[in-house]
Parts: sequence; C-alpha cells; structure tokens
Amino acid sequence: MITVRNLVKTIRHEVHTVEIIRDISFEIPDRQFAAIMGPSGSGKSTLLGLMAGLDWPTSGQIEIDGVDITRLNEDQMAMLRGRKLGFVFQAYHLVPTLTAIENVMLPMEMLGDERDGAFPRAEYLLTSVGLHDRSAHYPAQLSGGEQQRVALARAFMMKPSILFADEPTGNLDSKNGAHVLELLWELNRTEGTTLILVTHDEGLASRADRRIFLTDGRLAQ
Amino acid sequence: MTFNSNKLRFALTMSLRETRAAAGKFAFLVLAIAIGTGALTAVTGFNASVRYTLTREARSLMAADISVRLPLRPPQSDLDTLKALEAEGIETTRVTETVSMASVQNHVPVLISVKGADLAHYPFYGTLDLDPPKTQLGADTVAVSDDLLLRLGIKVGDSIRVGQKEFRVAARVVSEPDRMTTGFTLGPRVLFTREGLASTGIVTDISRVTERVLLKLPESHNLSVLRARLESTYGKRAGITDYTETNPALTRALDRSTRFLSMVSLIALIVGGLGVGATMQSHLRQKMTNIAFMKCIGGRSEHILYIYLAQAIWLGILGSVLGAVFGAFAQAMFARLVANYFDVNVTLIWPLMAMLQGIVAGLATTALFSLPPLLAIRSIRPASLLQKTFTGESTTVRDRASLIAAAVAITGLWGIAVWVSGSSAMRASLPEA
Repeated sequence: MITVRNLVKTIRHEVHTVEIIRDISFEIPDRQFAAIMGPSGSGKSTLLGLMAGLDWPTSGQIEIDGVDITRLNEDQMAMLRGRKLGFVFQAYHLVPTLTAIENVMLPMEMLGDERDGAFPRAEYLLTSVGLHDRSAHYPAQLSGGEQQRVALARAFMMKPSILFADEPTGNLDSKNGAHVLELLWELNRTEGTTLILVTHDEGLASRADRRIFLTDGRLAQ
Repeated sequence: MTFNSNKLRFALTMSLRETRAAAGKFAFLVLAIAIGTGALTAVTGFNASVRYTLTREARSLMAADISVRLPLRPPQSDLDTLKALEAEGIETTRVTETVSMASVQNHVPVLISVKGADLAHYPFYGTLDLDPPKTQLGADTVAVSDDLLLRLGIKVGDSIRVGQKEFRVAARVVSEPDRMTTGFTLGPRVLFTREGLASTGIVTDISRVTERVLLKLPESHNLSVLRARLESTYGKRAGITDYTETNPALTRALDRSTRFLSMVSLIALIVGGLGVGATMQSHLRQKMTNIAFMKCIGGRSEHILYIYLAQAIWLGILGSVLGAVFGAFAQAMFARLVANYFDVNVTLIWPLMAMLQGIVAGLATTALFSLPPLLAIRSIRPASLLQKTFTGESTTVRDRASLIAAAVAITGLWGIAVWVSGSSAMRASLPEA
C-alpha cells in the first residue's frame, strides 16, 4: 500500500520558488496498476520520483507499507529502493559497458547478496522477455525495443513489491511499445507487483486500475 | 559504514567491466603513469646500481687498498716513509699525474692528462687494458686514449711530442681501473712509464703534479690500523683514502644528480597524474547517468565510489608496475651514457627498493589525482534520471569535498616530493659500505 498525504514539492530557482506538487493526497493499494497522467510540466515525473524515494518532498508524507519514507535518510532510502522498488525509464538507462545479462544482474550484485542466485534469476528473466539468446550482447548491439526488454528484466530482478515506470514506451515505435507493455503486464502479473506508470498514452492508461490526473501539480480527479 | 567481501568483489568486478569497454582510454592512463614511474625508477635504480658497483669493485676502482695522495711534489722523506712500509710486506707503487700539451707537426697542440706509472706493479687490482693487448711500454713509447688519436689525427704507431721528447704511440688505452677515482681530468689520457715521464722534462720542482702512492696490503695487515698510522704520520699533507670509502666525492655527486633527476622525474609523474585526473573526470562525466541509475537501484555513493576508486587503483598499479620494470631496464641507458665518461662498467642490479619507491609514488599520484573527480560522485543525484524536474547537484557538498580533495592532493604530492628527495639525501648521509 502506498499512501500519499498532503504532498508538496517546491524548488527554488534563483530568486523564484516554483511549486511543482501542490498538496496531493491519494492511496494505491497493493498489486494495483496506477497510471499517472497529465500534460507536460504537470509534475508527473516529480510525483513518481517522490513516491520512489528518489527525492524528498518539501512537506507531506509518503508511506510505503506503513513506513513514512520522507523520514528516511539517504542510506535508508537507498536500501528501500534496492529491496522493494523497481524502475523502468523511458531512456532505458542500461549500463553500456555491461552485457545484457550483467545489466539484469546489476541490482542484485549492487546489494552484494544472493550472488549465486543472480545468474539463474537473470537468465530466467531474460528468457521471460525473449532475449535469452542476446544475453551476451552489449546495449549498443541491441535495438531500442530489446534494450527496454532488458531494462524490464532488470527491474524485476529483486522481485520488487512496487514497480515505477516513467514513459516506458516513449522511445519505442508502436509495435515494439506494444510488445514491451505486454511483457510488462505479464511480469507484473506473475511477480505480483504494484505498478505505477507515468504515461501520456490514453489507451495504455485505460488498462489501469486507477488513473491519477495531474494539472499544474494538483490532482485533477 | 559496512563493507563486506561481496561488495568489494562487486567493486572490483564492475571496475574490470568498465575498463574492458574503454581499454584505449585507459591505456593512455596506464602509459602516463608508467612513463613517470619508469623515469623515477630508472634514476633511483641507477643510483643503487652504481653504489652496488662501487662497493663490489671498490679495490679495482682504486687499483689499491690504500691511496696516499700528495698534492705537490712530495719531499723525499714522505716517499721514504712509504718505501719503508715495504719491509712489512706492503707493496707500493707511485703514480704521477699532471697536465701538459701534446703536439704533432702541422697541428695545434692538445691539452693532455699525463699519467706516469710503474707498469710492472700498477695496478694492484683491476686491469689496465691496452690495445694491442699486453703491449709493453718503454721509455720511448706511450699509450693514449682514443680521443687524442682523433683530435691529433694520428694512429697507433705515429709519434707525438710531449715536453722535450718524441714518443711513439704504441697502444690505445682502452680502460684504466682507477680512472673513475682520479677525479676531474682536463684532457685525453697519455700513459707513460715512469722513466718515459721523467724524460719529458715536464715534471720539475715547480710543476703542478699529483703524486699518488698506491699500497697493497698483505692479508695479515689490518687496513684501518695502517690507515690510522699513515694519517698520524702525514696529517693534512696527504689525502688518504682506502677502498672501503668508494670515493665519497663521487657518491656525493651521484646523490646530488639523483636528487635533481628524481625531481625532474617526479614532475613527469605529476604531469602524468594530471592526465589521470583529466581522464577520470571525462570518464565519470560520461558515466553520470549510470551512476545516477546505480544510486536509483540502491547503490550508495560510497559503494559506487569504490568501483571507480578500485579502477583507478588497479590501473595505477598496472601503470606503476610496468613503469618500475621499464625503469629497471632503462637504467642501461644511464650506464651506457656514463661508460662514455668513466672507465667503469656499472653492474646493473634489480633495484628493488627503487622499484618499490616508484610503484608507491606512481600509485599515490594516481590516487591523489583521481580523488577530486571521484568525490564528485557524491553529488550525483538519482532524481536526475527523471529529466529536468529535480534540483541538481548539491553544490555545498561538492565544494567542500573539492576543497578537501585539493588539500589532500597537494599535501600528498608534497609528501611524495619530500620522500623522493629525502630518500636520496638520506642515502648520501649513510656511511659508505
């Protein structure tokens, strides 16, 4: 369960203070698929980043499974992200110096545990996204769709309870985008993950259990 | 902060993966460190080799056990005192050195370094190499160094005039054992027998000559006891040295040269370090999104810093070790250079201490110059992955970290410079073997 209460985020830009998120409150139950929508500059990605513990709000609370993450320090927040959260970004953000399978193993290796279990899990996930035969390829040797499928496999490596996706099909053509989304639904279903997805795509949002519309940093719904 | 072996292994593995993909860029880094370390090792290593040679070849380099240098033409009593030592089984022989002119017809006279020795006894240790070998010099013949043949445009078999007499050049002087310890010489060597030198007429009571009496002790004699006896007899009238000193003037000059060249090498190393810093900075700038992503999936700044620190360290080790090995071999260039000026074959040794010093200096330089860009990792925020919506880097942390890094780097470089120059100075102050 994710609970957002009276969330405010302002940033100081030289002499101006800009309010990006303005007093937002909502809840997302476990295993729900929530789509965050809104026009450009409405604060979608900022909200996603705050809920994912990538930044701290100016005020308000964000609880994940009953823990107020706004009170965590940087190390605790990193630990939370590593153990409970998964990420898929529009720009894939694969590490170019690592092969596909090394990219998928990265989250588990980064935390320094279950090393022996990393390889079979990564192989299983790469097989799930149809890239088992591409495991030794570097990102530069993969197409955009393939890179995003590797990023998907990586996002599920730590069996996260919540997956945050920021425009995951934004850089893909419709065919590859649809393929990636199908894989996302499938993995989300088999892994039992809560999915929070930022998108402009109405069709995609229509499949969500819950839609959160933002306008000028406020909830429109 | 906890750091288990899995995380250390991860840092090393990641650093290897990072390097694998940009081998060319890091080859430059390794080369930069290797050149600086190599130069430093070659200079300090050559010092060690020369010292080893001086110690091992000490008797040969003096051609005797004790040398008694009498700066002016000595009174007969001084020579008699030395001659009296022969009754105790001590062998003695005189070597007279001075400066004169050699001439041939139709050629400008050339300044020469004259040496007159009793070739039946001289040298007691080491060998006097003449070409042709085993040439017997007499009262009318001399042996000369190659440079005199060249400068006068003559060859073996021709004649030269020294003083009031013509001498036939019977041989070339290939090497003389005590050439290195006779100090500064003004011109090409011309070697006479004592009779031959006397017949030139250039050694008179008012001549500026250096008279050395070389002593060879029987095994039963104690070197230091005899030396003390001679010092009490001659006081300050004579310069008495024994082979255990390995020529203090030479080793002092060697240490001064080593210190100067070490500093030059250190500058080369620091320039290499600047290259390391620039390479790491550009590398990390390209890695900013990767670093932000690693933070995003739970990586802490320290853990990510360890990846790139490990990379800098093992590349530094690679460069330093390569440089140290290269430096150990590069000593040969110095040896060849020195061989042109001194008749001594420097025995090159594996200068383990110099290599270790080079490796430590190379590695420390790599670490110090990598530090400022590495500390900037702390200011990369995971939120930057979400495009432009978040505030950027924490400038307070970056500025403070940069200041600390700069202070550490400057202090560290100062420490290395003191260490490198200090170790040479310390060697200079050590008693000779």
